[in-house]
Amino acid sequence: MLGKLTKHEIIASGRLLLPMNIALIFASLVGKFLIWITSKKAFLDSTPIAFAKIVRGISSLFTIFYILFIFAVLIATVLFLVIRFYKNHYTDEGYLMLTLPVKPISLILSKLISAIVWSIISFSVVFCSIALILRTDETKESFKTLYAEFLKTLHRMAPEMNVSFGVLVAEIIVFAMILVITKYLMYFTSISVGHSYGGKNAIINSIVALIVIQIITQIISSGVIFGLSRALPNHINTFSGSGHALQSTVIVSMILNLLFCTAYLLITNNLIKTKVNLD
Amino acid sequence: MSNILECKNLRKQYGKLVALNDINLELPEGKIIGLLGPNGSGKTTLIKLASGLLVPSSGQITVGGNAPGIESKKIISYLPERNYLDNTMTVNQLIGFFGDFYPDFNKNKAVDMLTRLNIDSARKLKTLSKGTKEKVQLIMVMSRNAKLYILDEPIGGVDPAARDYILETIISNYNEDATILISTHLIADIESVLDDFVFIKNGEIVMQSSVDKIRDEQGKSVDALFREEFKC
Repeated sequence: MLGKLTKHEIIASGRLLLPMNIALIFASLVGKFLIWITSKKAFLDSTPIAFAKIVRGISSLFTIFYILFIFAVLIATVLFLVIRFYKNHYTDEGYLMLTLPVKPISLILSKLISAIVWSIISFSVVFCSIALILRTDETKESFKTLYAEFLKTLHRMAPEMNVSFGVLVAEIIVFAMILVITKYLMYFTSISVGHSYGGKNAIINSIVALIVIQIITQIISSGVIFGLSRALPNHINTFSGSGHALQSTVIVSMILNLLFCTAYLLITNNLIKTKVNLD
Repeated sequence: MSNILECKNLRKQYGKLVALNDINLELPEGKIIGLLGPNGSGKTTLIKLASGLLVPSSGQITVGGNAPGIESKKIISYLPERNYLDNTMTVNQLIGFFGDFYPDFNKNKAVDMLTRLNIDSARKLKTLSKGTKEKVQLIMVMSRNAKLYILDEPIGGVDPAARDYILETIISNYNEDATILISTHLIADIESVLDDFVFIKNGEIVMQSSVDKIRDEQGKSVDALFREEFKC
């Protein structure tokens, strides 16, 4: 059933997120065209002054619109996926979703998988869009240098951290994924706690729950990192500044975040199972 | 005849408020049963407990021999008193959704009922009127070959013509071995279709009987009996 739930969830989220991403791609193409046309000085000089002014004005306005659009896509993606979790389980739609013959954990996981998929899609589209806009004949070389520098840094870091280049890249990707998963599960848990104990102030209580959870996880993380820095030998502790230290910080952070994820899943699952009371 | 739903010393309380108190109830298979009581009597709480939307404070509730969970949800077709549909879906997508999660969902039956009502399956739910959405929801619920249909206020707040359509849809589409539990306070409208009834008042079952027995023994309609029992 998890597969079916996930399929429906990805499709349902796509009803808003797909057109939004397509609109961003379209906006990038328009932006690219405006950059191209405003770079053609000879062409603009050959047109009436008013026309050239209009083109440059549109281009400036479009730049502002484009930057806002980029932020809107990133924020809307996260916000929409979190609101969908709330709407699906804690509003009238809960009467359908919570009476499906599926386990509560499947409901949560389907939302999480959909959130990961759509976050990857939206962030990739944003990345490609920015690359498309910024990549011109003049900047092409700079991009190549930047990419080469990035790879060089990774190649230098890998032996310092006592891992191969491939493992380091994999570690970065896995770490990023764990952070995304932790964030979404933290939002889901906050909503569930806020609704389960919030009564009519469920939304305000969800925000309070989010703040409290963040403070608790920060205290636990700081405590663990500090404790390990005292307990472990200097060459691998987190304050020694070596590659080993960075590696141990990454590993500890990953384990900690995975533990937080497990706690969030268990809490949310239990609250949906036992504390839901739809109006 | 075995029971499809059983409650033993079932109690539900919200803080200090007792919504259901020590309910003992057995609902047999193959009957149309009215769950009748005034507003706030505990009808919806009982239904939510049976559907797995609430957890009892104490006591037991079983559906088809199972405590509320995946197995009980497989055999319950539940119509809540409100619209639970995702408005961004089309009617076709909704049919696909029900088909995916309920193996007993009869897609052809749903399409047939929608066609008879001239509802275009390609339309998004948000473009349909409130009344049409209620009918779509009813069609989805009644297109299942469930063992227990739980219908919470299916005729509340609709015009008489829609009321007739809803009752007709319920009666002509349910699986005859199944039980239908209809919660309502509009007794006169559904009395003719009921086999049994349960009166619930202040969270307690005050009477459970068959409609025929009341007519034969007391010479009264259930509606008249209800008015006596719940006189303000």
